[in-house]
Amino acid sequence: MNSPNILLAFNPRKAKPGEVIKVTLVVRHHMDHGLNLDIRGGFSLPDYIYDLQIYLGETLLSQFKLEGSVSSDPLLGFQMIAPDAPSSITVRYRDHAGERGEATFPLDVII
Amino acid sequence: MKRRKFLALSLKALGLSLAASQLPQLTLAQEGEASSLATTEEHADLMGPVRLEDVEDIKNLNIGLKRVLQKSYEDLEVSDVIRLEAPEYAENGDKVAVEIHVSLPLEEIKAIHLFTDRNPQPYMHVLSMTPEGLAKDPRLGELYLLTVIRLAEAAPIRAIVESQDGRLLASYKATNVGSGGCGAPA
Repeated sequence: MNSPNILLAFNPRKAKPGEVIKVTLVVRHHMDHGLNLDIRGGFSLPDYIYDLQIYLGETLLSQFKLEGSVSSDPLLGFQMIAPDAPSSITVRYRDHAGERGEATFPLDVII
Repeated sequence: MKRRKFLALSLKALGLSLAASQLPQLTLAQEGEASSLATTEEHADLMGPVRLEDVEDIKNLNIGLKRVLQKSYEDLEVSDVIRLEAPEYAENGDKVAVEIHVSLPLEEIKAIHLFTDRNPQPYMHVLSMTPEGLAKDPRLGELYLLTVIRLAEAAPIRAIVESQDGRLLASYKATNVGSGGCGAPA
């Protein structure tokens, strides 16, 4: 099931096989670095996405190791080559609170 | 005669005391003027770009480099194959956009790392990206990475490309910030 907090955009939306596509990805997450004082005057526990993987179909395209210095609602952009046939991009992440998110987005190509 | 002398002395004393009472006010006014000028100059400095050498913190950076890459600042090789784009001044240190372009054969890239010198420990390391499948497609000429990071204060942003043969190619950019993006001071 797709996590509603993962958003992804392709530019261009439809590409020819072999064309470069810019992919922009946003995960809605507070990315708490644990340096803010809580109500008792102590530091809160860090809770941020530390591992994020991007798949084209079943192939691992790229892996990100993130730290608390990445802004809240992390935005990641990268580029890839449009595949020869329609496929999909899957994003999977894990955070310190044990939450896992996953979302799959269809990737159209002009054939 | 005595009365006239007394009056003259009294008037002189009054004049002196009046002048003395005005002195501190004048001094304070001049100081105030000077301090307001200094504040304006400082303000201009705060809003403008910063020089890399003024905001470097190699000791703090080395802690991050050692933890993530088991290397130090001396192992970094500045290279023009990396194009790092970041603002010279960011109003909000909580959201600083950074773009990295790497024009190196992709199969030679093991990972891209992003560091900044002055974030509190352990957040000198911002992120690492391994291109995996991206690097296997020779048609992709340039590796591109966009992200938005937090800066606690004015600091260098350092993009480091780890090559398959173990070299650390780097590019630096100093960014000034209006308000820091971390909860605690560095």
